[in-house]
Amino acid sequence: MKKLKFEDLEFLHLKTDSNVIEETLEGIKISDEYSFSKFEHLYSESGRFPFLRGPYPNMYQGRPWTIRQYAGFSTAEESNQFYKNNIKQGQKGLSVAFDLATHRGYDSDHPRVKSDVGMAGVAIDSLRDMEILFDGIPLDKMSVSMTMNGAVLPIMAMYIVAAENQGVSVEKLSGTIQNDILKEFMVRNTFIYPPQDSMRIIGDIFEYTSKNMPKFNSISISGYHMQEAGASADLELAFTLADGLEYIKTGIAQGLDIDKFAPRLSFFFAIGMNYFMEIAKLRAARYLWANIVKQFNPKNPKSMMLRTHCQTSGWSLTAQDVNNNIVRTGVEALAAVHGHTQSLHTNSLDEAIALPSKESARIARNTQIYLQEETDSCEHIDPYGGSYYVEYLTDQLIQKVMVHFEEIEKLGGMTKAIELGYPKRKIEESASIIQAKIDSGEQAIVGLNTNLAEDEETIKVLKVDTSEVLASQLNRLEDLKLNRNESELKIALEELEDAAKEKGNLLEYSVKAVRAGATLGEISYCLEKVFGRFSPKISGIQGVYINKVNSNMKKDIKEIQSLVSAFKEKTGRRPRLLLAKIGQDGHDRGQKVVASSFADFGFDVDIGPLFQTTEEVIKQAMENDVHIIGISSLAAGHLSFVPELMHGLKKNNFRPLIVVGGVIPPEDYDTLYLQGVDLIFGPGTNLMNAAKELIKKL
Amino acid sequence: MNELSIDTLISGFNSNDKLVLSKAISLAESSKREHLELLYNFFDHYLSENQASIIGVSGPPGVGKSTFLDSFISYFLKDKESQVAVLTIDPSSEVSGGSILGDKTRMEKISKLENVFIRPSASQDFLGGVGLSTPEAIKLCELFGFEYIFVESVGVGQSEQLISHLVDCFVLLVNPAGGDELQGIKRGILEMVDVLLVGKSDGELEEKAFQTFTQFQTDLRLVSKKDVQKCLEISSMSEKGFGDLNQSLEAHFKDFNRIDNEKIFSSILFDKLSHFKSSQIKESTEFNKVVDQFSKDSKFLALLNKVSQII
Repeated sequence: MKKLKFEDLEFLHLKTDSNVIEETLEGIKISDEYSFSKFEHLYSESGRFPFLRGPYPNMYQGRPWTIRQYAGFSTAEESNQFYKNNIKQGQKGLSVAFDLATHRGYDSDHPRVKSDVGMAGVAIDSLRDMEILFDGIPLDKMSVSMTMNGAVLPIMAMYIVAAENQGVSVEKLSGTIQNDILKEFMVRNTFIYPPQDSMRIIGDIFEYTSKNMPKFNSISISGYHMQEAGASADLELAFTLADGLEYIKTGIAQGLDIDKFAPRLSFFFAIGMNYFMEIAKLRAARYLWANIVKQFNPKNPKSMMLRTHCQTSGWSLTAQDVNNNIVRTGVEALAAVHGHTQSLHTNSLDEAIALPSKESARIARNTQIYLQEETDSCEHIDPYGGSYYVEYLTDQLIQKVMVHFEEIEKLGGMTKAIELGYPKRKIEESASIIQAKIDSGEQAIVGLNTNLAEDEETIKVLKVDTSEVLASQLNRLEDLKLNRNESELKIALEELEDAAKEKGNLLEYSVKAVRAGATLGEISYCLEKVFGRFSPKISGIQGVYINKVNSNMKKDIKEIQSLVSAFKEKTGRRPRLLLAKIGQDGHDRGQKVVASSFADFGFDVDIGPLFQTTEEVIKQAMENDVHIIGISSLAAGHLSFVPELMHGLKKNNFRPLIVVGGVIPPEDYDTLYLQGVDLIFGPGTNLMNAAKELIKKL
Repeated sequence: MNELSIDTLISGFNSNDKLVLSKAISLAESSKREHLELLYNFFDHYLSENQASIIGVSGPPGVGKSTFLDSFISYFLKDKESQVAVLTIDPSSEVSGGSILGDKTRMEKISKLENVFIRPSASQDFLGGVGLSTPEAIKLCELFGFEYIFVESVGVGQSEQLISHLVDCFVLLVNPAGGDELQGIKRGILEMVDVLLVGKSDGELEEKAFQTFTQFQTDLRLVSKKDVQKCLEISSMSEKGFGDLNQSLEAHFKDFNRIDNEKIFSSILFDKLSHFKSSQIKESTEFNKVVDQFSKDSKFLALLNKVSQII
């Protein structure tokens, strides 16, 4: 393999001639004027190496992008009904969202997941659930996309066996599994095993699918969650493509031919509000990927072609004045389309406060229909090709990414870099900078720090009652466990464990275990016994937020710091704040950004481990004698864990200030206050104001 | 819980109430004079026969001290129900004074155990690597009845010097490293080490760990002033070397006899001398006893001098 170097890239390095008027988050200098010396790359064509202008020759002229809306319902029955309705309306593919317990490899009856069952997706414990999910849906005709990373083995195995039982053989299955474990270690934290063992699982899935499932995409390499966690465009690109390179190396190490599996790799990017930057990002992504794969000497040009799914940014949506979100999503969708995505999910306007309702989901989907049917977006190929500004951004992103590649290379590749926490730290820094820019008003967000609504309209949001889901899952599990052949099951699980210790394709053995009646939790635990369950190293960064706050906010910071000093004068200690995450939701951007800024304000901040139970949070809060417990809730768990927490604290005669933050629907506020919560901070909270309010409450 | 008083402290310690212990450590962390007076008043009134085994763990930043403690203590507690306290120290920011305390995220296994009490403290711009309140916190944990107290220091500068005076057994954890990097570990620190651990002896670093281990064995023999110094290779991932470490600790504490907690109180002394000018707590008779006892000790005065210079 020949190493990819700067000099090899034929792209022109454009320069700005005039005054720099601004610098982007990516560190790209924006000028008021650009010029080119040559225009060579403009003669590159879509559908040809390096695919900068699009993966296919005629792009949307032939066929528009695929409208693919991801949806999560709590039960297999509800999801099945939803899929069937969509199929009736002509949808050709379906996309499955799993609940948090399933993602983390726990059955619904596991004691750690009480408040997670049915949250943010469907609960799958066993083959029975999977069969209900696809009941009456012919799996040989339907392309199935599954967002699963941690528990890929049991989920893939159950999907395969469910198809078998429908009479559909495995080679006819088509669809995509996300299976992108590396990004989980950087941002979303929905992993189970340590990085090295997780990579082995991916290798085994590559091997199995390339042998048995020629129509199935074995991975979707995702940058989406990085941008959602705060990554700038260059970081999202660099880390996603570096992950992709790592997966290629994994496939090659498994003895696979590059042309056999590279065409089956697909990508997934986030599209935020920086319209031109996002278009440039998709162009740069195709260019860089083509050059990365070229190093492996593929014979099939398709191996070098980057195909991607995009989703509009959920983070860019506000909980305030939510109708603004329709426009945001529209602008982002337009950027995805002008950057030439192959498929797209558009978010619902209520995403910042709850899971989408039926009405909001319809508006979201129609946003794409406007673009396809009412505008002229499908008629042109790479409409921004030749635009001075977009070409400049594309070039600059390529250059920035090459620098990041070199750093990753120096650390010994992406798996190593992730183990060292390098990408995580970079993304957290970027997130803190964005937060400071928003809090100081430098980055405008309508309805939040500018043009506030006078009378805010409240909308009806979807409520998920998970207690029923939990009860029905528990019944079905109990029934399954009474009606299976225990000795067959034991043998199958032992064989799987041996395969994990020695060599042996883990997906193959998982399929056998599913046939013998093993549950998702049993298969996951069987592997956990060999690999262990991974717990991430969490460290906070300090000094980033405070350095980005501009001069007119320095006064606010001074005010907070003097409030902190006054508190210390009075009580002898700095205000001490525990930031806890309860349940299996691993999104920790909020926790990290709050930790880093509050430490900058002079607080002592305890960061709790991910995936805690309320008992563990109480134990830690008491041992550390904190003044405040702050809990971040992003997956609607607050209604079940807040009462538990309050009860536990009362029992222990310990009562710090209780603050809940994250995705909290306004209609839950009164309930939470009644239960004893002292303060609630929704999305878009200005952290300086929050700090002041907190100290005054103490 | 209401304001702490001497009575609530005593009854809390008698009834084994961990929240009271936690509040008492907060008194030690406090910058308020009346809090310290209350604390020293408590020390004067509360007697306990308990003698804990106090183990200090130090090492450079990033060497994996918290991960090691998580892994080793869960190994250590596999077949016994001992009560264990873990005191960790995180650095405070010099600019804002605030801190991020994340040690417990790396102690996921033991933080869930009922018989393990973990208290992270901010260093409060105390340069020594141990926190300003560490000596009192150790004392409190011992009075409370813990059998084992592990103290993890901030791995910077002179921390090893100070922590070794606070504990009964001083464990230094180092990374597998080449010859030049070994030179960086000062002779003075090696002299005080009871157990030296070469960590990360697994996977691709195993060979390097062995080389480092061999070199340290030689070095230790050259500088050692202690009767027994142990050097071991360990891995927090595979638990390699944990059995040997367990035995070394057992051997260390078998005939161990700490004279009147002198070490701990000597530390408290120089701590308070430099930070609170002793006047604030001179009412404490226990404290004055220590001062009297050690004011004639030339070795102690020399040490005190050294520490004042460091600070």
